[in-house]
Amino acid sequence: MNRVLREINKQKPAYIFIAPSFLLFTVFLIIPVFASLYWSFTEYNILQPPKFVGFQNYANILFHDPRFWKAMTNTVIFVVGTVPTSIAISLLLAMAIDQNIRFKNWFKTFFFIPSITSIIAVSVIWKWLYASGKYGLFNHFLSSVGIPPVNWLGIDWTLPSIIIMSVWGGLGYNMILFIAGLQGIPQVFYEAAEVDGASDWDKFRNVTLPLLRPTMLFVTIMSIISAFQVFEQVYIMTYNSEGAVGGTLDCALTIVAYLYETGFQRFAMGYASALAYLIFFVLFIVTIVNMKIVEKKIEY
Amino acid sequence: MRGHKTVKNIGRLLLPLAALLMISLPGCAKKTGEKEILMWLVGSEKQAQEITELGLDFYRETGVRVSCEAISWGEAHSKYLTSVVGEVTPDIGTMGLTWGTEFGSLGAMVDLRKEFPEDLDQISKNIFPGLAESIRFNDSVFAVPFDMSEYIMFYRSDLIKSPPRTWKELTSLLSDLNVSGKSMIIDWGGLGWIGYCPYLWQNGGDFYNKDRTAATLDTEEAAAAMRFFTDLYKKYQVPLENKPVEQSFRVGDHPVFISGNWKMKSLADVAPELNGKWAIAPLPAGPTGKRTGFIGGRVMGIFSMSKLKDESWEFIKYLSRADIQVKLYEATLESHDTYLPPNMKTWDIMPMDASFKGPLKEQAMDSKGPPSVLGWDDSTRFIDTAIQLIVLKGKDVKAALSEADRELDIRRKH
Repeated sequence: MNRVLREINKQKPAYIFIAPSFLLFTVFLIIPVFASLYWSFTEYNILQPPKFVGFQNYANILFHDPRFWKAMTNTVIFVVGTVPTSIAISLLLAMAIDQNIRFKNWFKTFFFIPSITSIIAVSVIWKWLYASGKYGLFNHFLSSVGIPPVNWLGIDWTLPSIIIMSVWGGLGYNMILFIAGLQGIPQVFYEAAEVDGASDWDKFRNVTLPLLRPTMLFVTIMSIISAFQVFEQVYIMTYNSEGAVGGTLDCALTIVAYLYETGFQRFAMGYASALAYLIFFVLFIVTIVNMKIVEKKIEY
Repeated sequence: MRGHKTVKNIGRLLLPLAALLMISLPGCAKKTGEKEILMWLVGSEKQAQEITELGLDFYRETGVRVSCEAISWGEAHSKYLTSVVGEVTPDIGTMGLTWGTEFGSLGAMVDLRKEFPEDLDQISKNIFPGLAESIRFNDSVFAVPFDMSEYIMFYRSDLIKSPPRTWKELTSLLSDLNVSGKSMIIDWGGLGWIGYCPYLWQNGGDFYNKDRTAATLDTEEAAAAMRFFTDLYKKYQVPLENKPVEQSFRVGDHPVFISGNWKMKSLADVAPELNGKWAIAPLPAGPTGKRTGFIGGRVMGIFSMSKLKDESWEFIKYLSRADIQVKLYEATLESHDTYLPPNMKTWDIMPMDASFKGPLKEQAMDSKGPPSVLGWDDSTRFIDTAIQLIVLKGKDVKAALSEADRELDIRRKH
């Protein structure tokens, strides 16, 4: 005991500085994480004490819950729709801005603005842009070039609409990361490639991409994780006067939106906790697979 | 020994923090000996402030202070629920219409019918019948109406000579409008149970039987109402997607729409140039001759854990008084809130344009609220799904309704 205290004492200032965030972290993250692991094996509605039911929640979700699979499908569509598109476009933007162009910082700011804007505010504005018939701005543009109006927030288009908006909203953040990654590539590699007579495409394919791999890994994993947990956009775009989220016939119900409904509207806390752990499990697997794919050694 | 000092030092650091926490704990700042009712209001800060101001008059009359705090709709339900679990409820809660029954049946709210029977009768006999029915749960009443919102029909009086008074007149008006590509909007509720319920009731149907012992969506009345409702969308071009109502009403593409009374305010705000060119009317009557609409609103009740039950009840009675409701109504005219008084007597003395007051009162007299059945809130999404499957996917009306009927029965509790 004494020794431990003496050790602590040596690093006193460090521990004092760590203490508040450690405390907050423990109370509001670590404890809830384990509590909800326990709840995921119970039936719990907040009011009555939790009742242990074993794996029943998990079994019900996986085998008897079509809405879970609908939400899962929608979420996968969302991830596949946003992540590659967003990465491709933001890499393109990053490379364009990384050239010696004028107004470089102006462009960076311009594309980064959506990232510092609250996604709630963005969604509200885009909901207006997406307004149906001739009333929305997008439909107005479409009709001015002779395309009939699209029912953006109707049953077929809600999810694609949210995807388009999310790609736009996420561009700037990824772009900044890519710019940083590009600037970390030593110029000598390009010079060497030029001496060897490489074309622009060769340089991109054989110098830029491999050396950008760490950034790419980070951006991909973070994008997938955050896309998998998409919620705010779905909430704002689809909630109705009764507070239901997910749109007509669950056309844009994503997994976190479903979790929200189960946990915080129906108060099926046990079921919602099991859902949360399933989401965690899926993300865990996806991340490991991701790292395995990109894990070849960094070629400096 | 030095270790000890560290602990002391940390303690010294934490002390001011703890002190801060103590100060901010609610209630600590209250003067001793003075009673104060805490009221939560689902709604805007502004309205909570108005009630706190009304509370000053109440304080002068009774010596009991009132403080009203606003909570937002989005988090209100969970906030009430957690306050019940954590035993930190306010004295008075103002909440969604169906929540009183929900919390009351958990034992979290005072049964007003048991505790204050005579007073409650005085209040009940003056509130609109549909609301009175909605707050009664078996033999109990856990909350009384704070305000109300009702379904009403809006039409452009410069474009439409007289509003449709029956289903037949409605469809013939829509046929005429359809010729020039125009139609009507069903705004509040849309493709959900709120959109559908007026037709169900106007056709003599209901969600449950009289004793609330069984769901009745598998009846012929419900099916016929659903067919009529579906036809509005499919045959008479009521738009399936959300349209900006005020905008399309202004340009005349949809010179009729059905929505809640709050649109009166937003029309006046958004399209002032239309003032005098639009009017409101009760819904068109169905085959039964009834023009039944939907009525919702907020209710207020007393939490069982309150230590000031009698004082809280006095304040609820105060807010139910006609002269006080007029004050509340006038105050909300200036803010962006809408408030319609649930006390019928208030309507005799409140200042409102007669061309609005007439139809609103007539509609409110023939309106129904959500059924007072435990498990109703969990059931509504199955009705919504049935409606959407029928209208959007062409599912058979009877099949979809009997599926919903089954779900309603499974979730119905006593």
